[in-house]
Amino acid sequence: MPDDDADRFTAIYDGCRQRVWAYVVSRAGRQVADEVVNETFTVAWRRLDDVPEPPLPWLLVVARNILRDSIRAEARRASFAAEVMSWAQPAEADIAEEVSERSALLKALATLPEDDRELLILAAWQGLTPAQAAVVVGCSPLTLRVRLHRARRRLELAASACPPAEEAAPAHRVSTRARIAVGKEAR
Amino acid sequence: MNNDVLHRLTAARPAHLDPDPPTPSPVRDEELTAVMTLPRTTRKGRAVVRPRRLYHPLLPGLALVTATAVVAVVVSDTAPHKPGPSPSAALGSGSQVLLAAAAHVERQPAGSGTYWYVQETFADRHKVPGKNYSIDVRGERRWWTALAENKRWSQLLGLGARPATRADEAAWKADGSPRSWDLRNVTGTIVTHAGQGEIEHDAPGGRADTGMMGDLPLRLLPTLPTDDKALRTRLFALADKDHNGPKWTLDRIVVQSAVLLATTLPSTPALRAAAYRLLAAEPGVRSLGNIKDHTGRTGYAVALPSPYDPNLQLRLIFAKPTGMPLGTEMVSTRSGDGRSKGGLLSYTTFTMKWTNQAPPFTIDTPDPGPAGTSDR
Repeated sequence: MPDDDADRFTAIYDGCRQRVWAYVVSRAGRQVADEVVNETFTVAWRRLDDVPEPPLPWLLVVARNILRDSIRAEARRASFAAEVMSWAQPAEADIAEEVSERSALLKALATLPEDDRELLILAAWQGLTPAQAAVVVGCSPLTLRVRLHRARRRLELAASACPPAEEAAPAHRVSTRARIAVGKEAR
Repeated sequence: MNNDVLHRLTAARPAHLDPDPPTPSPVRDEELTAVMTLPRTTRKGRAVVRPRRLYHPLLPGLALVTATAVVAVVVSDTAPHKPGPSPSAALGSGSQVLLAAAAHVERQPAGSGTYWYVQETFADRHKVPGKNYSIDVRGERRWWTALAENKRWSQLLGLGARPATRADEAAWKADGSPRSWDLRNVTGTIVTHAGQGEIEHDAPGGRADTGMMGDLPLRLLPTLPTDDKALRTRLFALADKDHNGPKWTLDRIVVQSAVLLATTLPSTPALRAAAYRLLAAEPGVRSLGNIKDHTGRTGYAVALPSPYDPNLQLRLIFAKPTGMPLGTEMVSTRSGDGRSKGGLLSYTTFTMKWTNQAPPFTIDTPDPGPAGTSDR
């Protein structure tokens, strides 16, 4: 194997692996993420000549197809439901008011149709431009802008319908903290 | 800092989904080794190779164990794909051009009116599959900002596609001047010469008033410092409050905000000049000399590493002699995927003015609702 290829692949991996992982987790939870990420980079290695610059949108398309083709929708939903439970937990440094607003927003995100949620995640968490997000979901940049606009509205609506959560019971918090710790290790 | 739901969502991202920290090294070593020992596929043989199926997609734990058995939590500010230092780090011609433009633009009249009106044409350039020419898929955005009321109206139109350059136009004519192009393998759609016309409009008071990504809240504009160093400090503090990213990510957001202040936001002449000076201090700013924008207006341009993507270059075009912005270009800095190094990927041109003429609509385009919006 030419060293150039190995170098290029390693650079792509270092630049994008955690992004692909975060995308898959936000679509289908941690339970399936490592395997889907592994498959994605296997495809990227085999088809290295086809991987464009920047590689991220291309990799996300591959990961998206693997998710769609290899994991049944109901299994994906179950895994995602488990993932969402961990999102509602506060980060260490957050103050109470921010925690409740943040968890209400994440809860609202979880109630949206999967297509809406994906667009919002690509824009807000992956930082893709509208043109890049359009490549990932397979529509024109113009259509993407319209769909993202609607998804934002629906998130606003859902967030205003999900009042901030009540403070969780202490015992519950301890157990979920433990689960988050496990989850962090799993990355 | 920003009430936009997309910004709030960015800020709410669970910490473990932050894509910036590097992959923990045991995972990295194992995955790279496992993948790179597999045979490569040549272009010729690719069609027969299919991804392996996932055999145990949902056995919790099992799939994880191999790749990630014992991994300490590693959080680091080291950026795995931070853009490299610029080859010409010294204060170069580009910085001087921006400083000169700042001196011109701050002498422009402040203007007055109820609405700051911006009309922006944007285009994404695509090579037509199977053909020897490229087309620009064009759209137009118009927005009206009532700064005092903290309100914004916007309108989006599809303007259709056109051959990109004169050479592309000749090739298009030789191809029989088709009026539609199949870009389903590129953007997922078929684009037409005529375009869609109005796609949507958005009035204040709807649930989510449309703004640009990386936007600044209107109410903050009058409070921003007009000294460039103070502006940078303030924009950094705002980005830090709004995003959970490492410093180099926040630095890029600062540049994104500065680009918007320099271009289409209703900045005062002094604030616009401060944004120019902030950008002049960015490493890697180069002068491109005199150029014409995509509506044929004469101006001059500078290029800087894109704050959106390290593989892209952002070009800012300014008018002579006012120093006001005319448009932007996004250019590839690497070749691959049918792109050539230096190839144009997209552009915008804009005209802006204060006006008392109200927007031509007062309510949003009706939302067709959740069903049927997917076009996959």
